Amino acid sequence: MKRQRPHSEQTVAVLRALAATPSAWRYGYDLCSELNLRSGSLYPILIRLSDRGFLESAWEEAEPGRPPRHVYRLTGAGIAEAAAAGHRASPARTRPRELGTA
Amino acid sequence: MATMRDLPRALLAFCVRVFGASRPDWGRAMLAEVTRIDDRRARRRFALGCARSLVFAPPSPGARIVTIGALVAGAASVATVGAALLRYPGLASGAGTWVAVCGFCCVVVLYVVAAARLGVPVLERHLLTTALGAGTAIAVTWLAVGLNASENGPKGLGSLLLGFGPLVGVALGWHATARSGSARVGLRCVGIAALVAGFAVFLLWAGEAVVAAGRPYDAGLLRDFATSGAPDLATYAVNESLGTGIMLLVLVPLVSVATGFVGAAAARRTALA
Repeated sequence: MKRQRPHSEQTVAVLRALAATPSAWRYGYDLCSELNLRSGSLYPILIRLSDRGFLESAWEEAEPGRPPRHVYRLTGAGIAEAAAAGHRASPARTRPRELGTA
Repeated sequence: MATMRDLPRALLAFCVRVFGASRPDWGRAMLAEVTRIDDRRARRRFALGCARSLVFAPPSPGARIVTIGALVAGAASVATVGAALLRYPGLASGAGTWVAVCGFCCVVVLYVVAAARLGVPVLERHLLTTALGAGTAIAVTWLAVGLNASENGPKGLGSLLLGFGPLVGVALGWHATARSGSARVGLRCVGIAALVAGFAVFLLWAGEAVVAAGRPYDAGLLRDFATSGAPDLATYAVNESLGTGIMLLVLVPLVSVATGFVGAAAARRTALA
């Protein structure tokens, strides 16, 4: 069985934010704002979660004169991973706090 | 002022063009997001962060698949030739044989290095799967052409099959370029498919010849053997098959890349029109 490294604190925060409303599609910039996470940290996390099958993405319907936005939500495996990551993390580590260190 | 306001977006667009070809969806996603941010400072910070993440994008699992697959195929190809030399010592008839073996090894090393470069940074999962599938389809087509010729099948079928491989190459180049919006990604897909096809055709063609001692022996082979000076018929047949296999190892990827290039160029031209 493949051994996977534990998620970083920032990844756990992203998983928890997405798992809070698992059926809702979320925007990248909104996640940055909500988690106080810089885009340079958020997108590599989203890319890794997508590569590992925890995140699904889609293109939103384009508004006139504006490009369509990319939206994200957790897959079934992602929801399970978020729950497992939540159990693994200690309460002190998952307390809301400043994450933008990138 | 509009230009100054769009400076972060221009910088990000530049990074997407230079570094984001392998992850086109993510580059487009970042560009779409940055246009939604009205606050100048937040816009600048967001664009700079995205640019940084594009430059240092994490390697995808596909990169490892392509590199490891090429290493395994390369090792298997060299092992096939090695097994042939061990099983049929008469193949090593002089300096020419070793020159040919060295040339073959150079081609294999070149392909493995090319695969490693094509795979990092690698394509999105859909395009990688499509490239692997197209490579397999091209290989099957070439093998079917060979089988049809050796079994004296209908000439019409041979021509039809011969045209199908290049069509797959064109379709792959077109699809990958149109989907990713980048001719570079399209050609990367074509390159991966070409290597898959080249290695698959060689391994099946040469491997079967080594295992079956070059059988079945047709009338032409029996006739030419008499004047070949080869020690025995099996050695002569395997020698012929290995020669054909090595030629296909070079020819199949070349044709695939050329036809894929046509597809990618056509898709690019259509997008620009």
